[in-house]
Amino acid sequence: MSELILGLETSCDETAAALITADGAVLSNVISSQADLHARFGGVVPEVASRRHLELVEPVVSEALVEAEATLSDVAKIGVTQGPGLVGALLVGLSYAKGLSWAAQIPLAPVDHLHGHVASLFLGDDALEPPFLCLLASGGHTLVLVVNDHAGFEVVGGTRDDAAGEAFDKGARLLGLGYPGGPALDRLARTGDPSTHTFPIARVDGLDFSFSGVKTALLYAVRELDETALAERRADLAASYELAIVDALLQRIEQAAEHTHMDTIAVVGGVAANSAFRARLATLGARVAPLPLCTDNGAMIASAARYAPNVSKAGYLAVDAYSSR
Amino acid sequence: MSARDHVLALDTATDVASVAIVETTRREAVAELEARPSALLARLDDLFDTARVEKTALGGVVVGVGPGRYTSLRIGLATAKAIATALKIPITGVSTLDALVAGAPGAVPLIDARRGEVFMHDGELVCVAPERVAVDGRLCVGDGAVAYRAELEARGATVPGESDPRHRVRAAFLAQGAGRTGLALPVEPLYLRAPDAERTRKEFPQA
Ligand SMILES: Nc1ncnc2c1ncn2[C@@H]1O[C@H](COP(=O)(O)OP(=O)(O)OP(=O)(O)O)[C@@H](O)[C@H]1O
Ligand SMILES: [Mg+2]
Repeated sequence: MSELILGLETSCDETAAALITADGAVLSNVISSQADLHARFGGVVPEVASRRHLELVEPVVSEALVEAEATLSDVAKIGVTQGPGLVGALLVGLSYAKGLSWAAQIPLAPVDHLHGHVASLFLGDDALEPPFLCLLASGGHTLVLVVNDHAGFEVVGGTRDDAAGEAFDKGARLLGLGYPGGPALDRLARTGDPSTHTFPIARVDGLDFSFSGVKTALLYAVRELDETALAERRADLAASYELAIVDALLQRIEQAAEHTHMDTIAVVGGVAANSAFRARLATLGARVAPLPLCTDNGAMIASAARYAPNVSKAGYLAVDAYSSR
Repeated sequence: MSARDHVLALDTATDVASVAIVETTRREAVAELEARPSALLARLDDLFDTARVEKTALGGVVVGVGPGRYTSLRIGLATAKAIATALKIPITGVSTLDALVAGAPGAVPLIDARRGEVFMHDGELVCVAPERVAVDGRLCVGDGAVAYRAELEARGATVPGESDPRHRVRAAFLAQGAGRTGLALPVEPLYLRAPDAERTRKEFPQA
């Protein structure tokens, strides 16, 4: 072993590191989630996240090496998330990766986090080959992408307001499910009846999304109920709300496929972990990122680094984090 | 293979970061440079060129753990940890206030904590308004002394001119200070303040 790629991710509230081989096999994928830490604040607190990343970055990287039965001398390239994300959080991973690269003389590849999500499809035995149409639905983004090669993508649609993951999180909060809301809403929705409530799907031009309306509709539905009624209907509301979002996503991606004449559809990002969404995508014959690679992880960053140009030493010494694209 | 007879020292607690390579036996800096914290690694690279020392000559890393600017401190600590890990050499934390005193013996070192406060050593590390610092007749140094010159001078302190080198944290003193006082600290920032969100929660527990 000597041609491994180390991927490091610290853009939000997961400190994650992974090792993959030069042909995209995942040897280790260590994710330390800070969700518990942020739960009592009802969302990610940047300063709290940055502090935790600094504590965790070294143990997480060393655990990834141990699990892969590798050492730094087996690493031929280091991929690290440069942005978008929380700058203070990104800087911890970026500074650590740059320090390793420089001291151990390992080429560095700064990676775009969104390219990382797409690259979660390029891992393992069943890797997807471009071209394909990709929906990236995460906590901060909802994008329709045309992916023509491994190294990048073209954006053909986006959201006018909230991201799909944000809609799940905000819906979960309205239903009193706490933080992080997406997975909790998913679990509750499985026990509910999705046909009890109709939430409107906003129609916007082009291939764009809008999720602020559906969130407001849920707010009004919840307001009408007293404590006991809400307790009774909570699962039905969750299931109906989830269905509205999933329908909106599916409708748009099918329109986009028609519009762009692409036959292969793939879905990545945290919302791709949603069980109802995954079931519908399966019947559609669409590809979806492997479950452990939907939310933030180091393997997807290593995968993107595999196709990203190495930056020369003179270049990476000055590489800085960016908060948005 | 050269002997591991040099130490890399760096401090990013203030707006002017400092990096140095110190020869271990003579305790002398063979090279020292200032940097913007965001350009830390580029300056480290320059430093090794200037010193004509190979990374393999390093026997340890000494890093200033503040108190100071949080984001800058984390850049410095993450970089220092990575270098120590990659080179398989030990890393030590040193108080940035100790480095300031090493450069200005007998002075009161003050680091600007923003929000009208300074970080200082007063029996223990504290974050206080400059009005509460006991300074009468004493020399105050550091970017906290410069920032609150009027308040400090009004209470009998002496604060050297803004460009006086004693206000600067010097990595060379960091390495020497580490040896002299033997005050090795854990390699984690001395934050002294809880994150704002925590403080708000404490004040408004119902929120
Ligand atoms: N099972 C699920 N059902 C619905 N939503 C989910 C599920 N699991 C995770 N999510 C949502 O996915 C989002 C997290 O995904 P991800 O980690 O990709 O986002 P992020 O990294 O925070 O944002 P971005 O990638 O846009 O910067 C959250 O909004 C979360 O609620
Ligand atoms: Mg993400």
